[in-house]
Amino acid sequence: MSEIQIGLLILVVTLIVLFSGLPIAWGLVLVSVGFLLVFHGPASLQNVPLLMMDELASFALLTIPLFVLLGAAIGASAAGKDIYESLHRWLDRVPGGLVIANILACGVFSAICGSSPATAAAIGKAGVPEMIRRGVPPALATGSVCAGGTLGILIPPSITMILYGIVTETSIGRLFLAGVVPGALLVLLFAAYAWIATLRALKSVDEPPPVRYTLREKVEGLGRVAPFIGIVVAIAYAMYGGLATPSEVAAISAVLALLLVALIYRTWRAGDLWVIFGATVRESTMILMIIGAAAVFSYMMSLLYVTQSSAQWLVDLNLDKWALLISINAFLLLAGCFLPPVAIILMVMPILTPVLEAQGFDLIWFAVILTINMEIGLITPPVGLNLYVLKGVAPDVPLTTVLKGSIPFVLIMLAFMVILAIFPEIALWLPNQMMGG
Amino acid sequence: MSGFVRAMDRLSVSCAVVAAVMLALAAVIVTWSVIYRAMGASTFWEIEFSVFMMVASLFLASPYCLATNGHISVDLLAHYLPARGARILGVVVTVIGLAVCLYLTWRGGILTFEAYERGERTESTWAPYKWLLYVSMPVGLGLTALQYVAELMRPSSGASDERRADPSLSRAPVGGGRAATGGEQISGPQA
Repeated sequence: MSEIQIGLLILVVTLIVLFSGLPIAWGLVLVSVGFLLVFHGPASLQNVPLLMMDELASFALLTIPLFVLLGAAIGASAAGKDIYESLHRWLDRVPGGLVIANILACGVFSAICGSSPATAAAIGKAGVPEMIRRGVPPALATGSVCAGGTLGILIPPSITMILYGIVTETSIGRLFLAGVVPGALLVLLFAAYAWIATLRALKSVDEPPPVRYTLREKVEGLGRVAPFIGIVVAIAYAMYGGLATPSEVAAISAVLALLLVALIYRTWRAGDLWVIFGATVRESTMILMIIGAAAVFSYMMSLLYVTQSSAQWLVDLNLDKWALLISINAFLLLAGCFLPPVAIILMVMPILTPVLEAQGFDLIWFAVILTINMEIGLITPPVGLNLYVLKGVAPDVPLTTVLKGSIPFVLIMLAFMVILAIFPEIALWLPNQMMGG
Repeated sequence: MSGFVRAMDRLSVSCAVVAAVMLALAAVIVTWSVIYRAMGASTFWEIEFSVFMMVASLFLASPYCLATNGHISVDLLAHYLPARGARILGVVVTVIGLAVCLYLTWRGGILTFEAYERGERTESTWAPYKWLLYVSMPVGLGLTALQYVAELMRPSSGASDERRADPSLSRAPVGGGRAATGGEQISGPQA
């Protein structure tokens, strides 16, 4: 069998195993051990546990559980509600202000949380029932939070970007910076759509009674949010001031967030802490176990020469730069509808990295394209994680309505990917400016 | 529910608590080392110690992760099977999961034992024994295998179905739900 044939066989077997419902981590180990045994003999199997250990025993990986802890600490508190509430007070005169406040709140929350479903849940819990109560069409209400949540993995800190950085050996600090401007622009585009959609909806429905806030109330609202903005500033300062490595920044901000949440929201009893820590170890274990298993998988792929041959095959196709980019993105979009971003990055990037480099694509820029692509997968069926989070937050809204509400946002994201492909500077300007070209 | 299932659930939660303490310890140690370094002192064991803690925490929390359906999976196939077929597939998948965990426990056990026999240390100034790092793998995954046995024994109606009804826990939507998806699910499997 040629390497490409083995590669195709691996693809088919992996898909069958992963779709069977076996946890992804075990599935990757099973496929790797099976192929090593058949195509390379039992001797190579000795390395399996050491491969997992060598991959996992890394200080860079410590960023992942610590940023998960940071997100869980803030997600378990009422901070999401406070952020949303205070933004809403400032936007009381804007048509669609309620929806825009939710989108902005998602953006702000993304800056302290590295996961999309967590962002959608934290903001959606308070925001969606409130929007529906005040007459925002359910599709717009759920769609905006569903899409707003995806900003979680684009705006730093981002668990997806950390993994991408580790796999492709690019600077995590640079990757984080590259997500800032595109993230902010997406927030603006989402908000602009919400404004237009509300203006259109207002023509057909009776205008809901406007709620006005005094300046005093507005300033009061800011007070509760200030500490969290403080964390964001502290993260940025420590990371880009060269004071600390990403892992150290993650540790400091997690400890800071736990202290703040304990002080402001009084979560220091064992039960409160368990809500935070139980969720943290559960999610961290899930992600890290997949990372360990994926190390075995990429060892197998590389030992059987499949990674190298597939990359070479892609290069030899001699596709036009744009044709290549479009096909890669179509493939990732399809994969993203079924598999979580973590698994896709770990399995696909070892093959794609040399191909992208050969074509002269910037790896930092591609990280942003990939992340937005993965975000779309999070809000499309059948396994769109954010859709199910929204289902939990607003059980009365049918899934089809949530989906319908998400479609305009998916279109905005697709259009934005095209813009980003034409103008890579949108992503690259800030990291080049701050860390040198 | 049999005593074994209940005992396993309780053991898994206890291990997760230990894992949580280890992770918290890692966060505090790293934070402290940054402050300590800023004061002009040099640090030598903190980074390695926190990595050891993270690895141990990850494997120790694995049985709890399984008990709460936290190990992300995609059960697309089950949706296209009739109820009976899906149930059989569920059992097959559980048995395969058990087999993978046992395999890794065995391999990890050999790795740990050899490192212990040879007295291997890491190549740092602090130079702790490597088996201290490795041992978390056979222990954590061995317990995960036991938790798999408990999942097989667990009555199919009752606790596990309740957990599956909760979208943040169910296998279908790639169960990556976390604290923010409600927080209720993390009070331990029997709560």
